[in-house]
Amino acid sequence: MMRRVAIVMLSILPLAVGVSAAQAGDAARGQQVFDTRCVFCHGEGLGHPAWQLLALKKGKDKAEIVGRSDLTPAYIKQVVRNGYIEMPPFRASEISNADLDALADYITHPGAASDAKP
Amino acid sequence: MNSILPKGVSKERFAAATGAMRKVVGDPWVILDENPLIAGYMDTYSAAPESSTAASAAVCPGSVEEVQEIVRIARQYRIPIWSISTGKNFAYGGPAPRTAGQVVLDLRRMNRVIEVNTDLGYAIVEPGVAYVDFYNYMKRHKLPYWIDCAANGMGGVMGNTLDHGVGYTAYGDHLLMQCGMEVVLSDGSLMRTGMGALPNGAASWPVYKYGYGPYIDGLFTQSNFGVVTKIGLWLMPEPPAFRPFMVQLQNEDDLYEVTEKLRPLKINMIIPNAAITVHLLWEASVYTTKHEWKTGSGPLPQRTLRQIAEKFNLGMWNFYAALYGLPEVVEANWQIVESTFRSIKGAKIYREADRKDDPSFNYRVRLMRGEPNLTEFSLMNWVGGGGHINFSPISPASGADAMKQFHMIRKACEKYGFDYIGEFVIGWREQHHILMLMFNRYDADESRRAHDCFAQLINDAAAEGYGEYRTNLHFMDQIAGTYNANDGALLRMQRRIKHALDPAGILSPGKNGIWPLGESPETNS
Ligand SMILES: Cc1cc2nc3c(=O)[nH]c(=O)nc-3n(C[C@H](O)[C@H](O)[C@H](O)COP(=O)(O)OP(=O)(O)OC[C@H]3O[C@@H](n4cnc5c(N)ncnc54)[C@H](O)[C@@H]3O)c2cc1C
Ligand code: HEC
Repeated sequence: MMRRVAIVMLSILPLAVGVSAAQAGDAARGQQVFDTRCVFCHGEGLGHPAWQLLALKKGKDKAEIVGRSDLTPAYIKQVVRNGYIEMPPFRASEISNADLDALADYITHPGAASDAKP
Repeated sequence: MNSILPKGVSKERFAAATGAMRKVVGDPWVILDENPLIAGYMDTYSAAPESSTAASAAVCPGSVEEVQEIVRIARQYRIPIWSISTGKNFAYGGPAPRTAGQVVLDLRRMNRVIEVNTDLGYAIVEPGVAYVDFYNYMKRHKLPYWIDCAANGMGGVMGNTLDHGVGYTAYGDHLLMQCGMEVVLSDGSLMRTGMGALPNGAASWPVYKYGYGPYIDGLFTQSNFGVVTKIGLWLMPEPPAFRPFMVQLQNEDDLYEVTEKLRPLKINMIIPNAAITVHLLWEASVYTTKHEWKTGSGPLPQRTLRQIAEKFNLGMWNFYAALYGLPEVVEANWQIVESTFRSIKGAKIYREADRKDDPSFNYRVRLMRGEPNLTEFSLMNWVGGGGHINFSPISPASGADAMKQFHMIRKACEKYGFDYIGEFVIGWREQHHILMLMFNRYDADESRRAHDCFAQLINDAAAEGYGEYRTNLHFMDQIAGTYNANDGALLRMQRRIKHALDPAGILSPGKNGIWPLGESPETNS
């Protein structure tokens, strides 16, 4: 008999289930969303198109968005939902409102993610 | 009240239909056009105005049963619904529907990997499984298989496969590696293809493609005959050895020779993956932007191209491929591959260790081992302004065809004031030529020129016997019109199938030029 079903019916983002926006650990959740939905463009250095462009437009000190003190959660959420010139928008079906809150928290206060990590 | 409605649908009917849909999926998952979240369904990259493909609403079911219910409601109220899976069809229209007013059926919430079979090497996935999530899933569970992703790592397994997309490992022809499909038909009924039609045939469903009787999975790709809710796909075992490499070519005319030299290696499966020959500017966009080389618009002159090649240690063409398998076999094949490409005058061959910190080489390597990333979006910084549409004709994998298409396409690009930014993706015996037509979307004149350039290219290509493998929303009818041998017999048959399977014409009207009977681009504009 073959070992047929290796893994059955696991939701892709296990944390998406049962974690409400208000709970502790949100910043860690925010980081997880960033690492799956944003980092390929917003990571540091060439090869990351958003970093490349923001470095040209705003200078290298503003090229990485995580931890930038001039970005507000409201602005970040607006950019994510509407897109921004070269950046595509993200729908609620892919980043829930609760995840978006956590994501904006993480970008504005990345330190909290490491504090919250178990 | 909604400012956009589906063509021919009254406010009352629309409200009744969306109201019924709300009861199925729950309030937050019916997004009307007054809801700011509708912005996520816009095509933010094409050359035509966003309003021309603005959805009237989006509906996001969370299960197959909900999809069935939504389709039944759409049929009852005659509401056109446009299916998307991950909805990241950038260069081809993104998440937006074919015409303004269609309701987007967004399947992204159905994001489960249903099964990964580690003995047989297949997976069954739902529509919303994005490449990056599938990749992380395989890693998290330490499964000894690779995925194969598009260079748009935000996309997903199902949507990419259904639109005939390609990746860069040995499993890069996604539809070839697809096996087994589950489809909701326009009456809301559920069908499984192939062996899946046996009541207890689940075991063979994802391993034998053809089942019994006509093989039909292809009917549900690049089409509007059903809503696909599951697909099976074969997974490539993680190879013990992987050897990616780059061949840098010094002259544009070397395209001929590299293509000729490659073909026997592909047909004999010495090089098993989707190999690519990439023009200079595609790679250069990872390091630099056009602005650094030229003020004002218009294509860069040859002299500047040479300077760019020099500065970033790139070729006028850059060929990438990889070898996979047992170390001894890889070594033996490497001898053949290396001597073959070495014989091209001036060619330089690089391996991983030679270009360690090179971000363009790195992303190619990552793609050839199925690691999602988004480095290729650097292309959007070339001129800035985000606009891009992909012109992608097919030809036999021959040097003569490659050169002919290259010259034909570059000539049109230059006429309309654009750089040629292209690559050839060489499959088994054919090649996809991909032109990334980049333009500033905030410049109306440039957008119009991009649109016109694309439209001309379709005709130029058709005159030479070339057709596109896939296209952007705004060119679906024009391209369908070029596949018109025997008085358009193919499209007529497709429309007859459409009418038989979807008599109310509610599923993705206009996809790839297939309109319901009595409808046309004109009746929908
Ligand atoms: C920089 C860049 C690089 C790219 N690289 C590649 C590449 O390497 N390879 C490649 O193939 N493409 C590439 N693309 C094009 C495109 O972005 C990808 O193919 C992407 O994977 C498609 O989006 P998706 O996977 O989210 O599919 P979706 O947008 O979900 O689906 C695509 C289409 O398939 C149909 N469809 C989807 N789901 C269903 C369903 N359930 N039932 C019926 N019909 C359905 C719809 O018509 C839909 O519009 C690239 C684009 C850009 C801008
Ligand atoms: C496909 C690449 C891509 C992805 C993915 C992406 N972005 Fe962006 N983003 C960009 C680019 C490019 C810009 C800069 C646009 C410009 O200035 O022209 C940008 C700009 C931004 C800005 C504005 C910065 C400023 O200085 O005003 C924010 C905030 C932002 N992105 C957040 C995010 C978040 C959060 C995510 C993940 C959900 C994300 N982005 C995903 C490409 C991307």
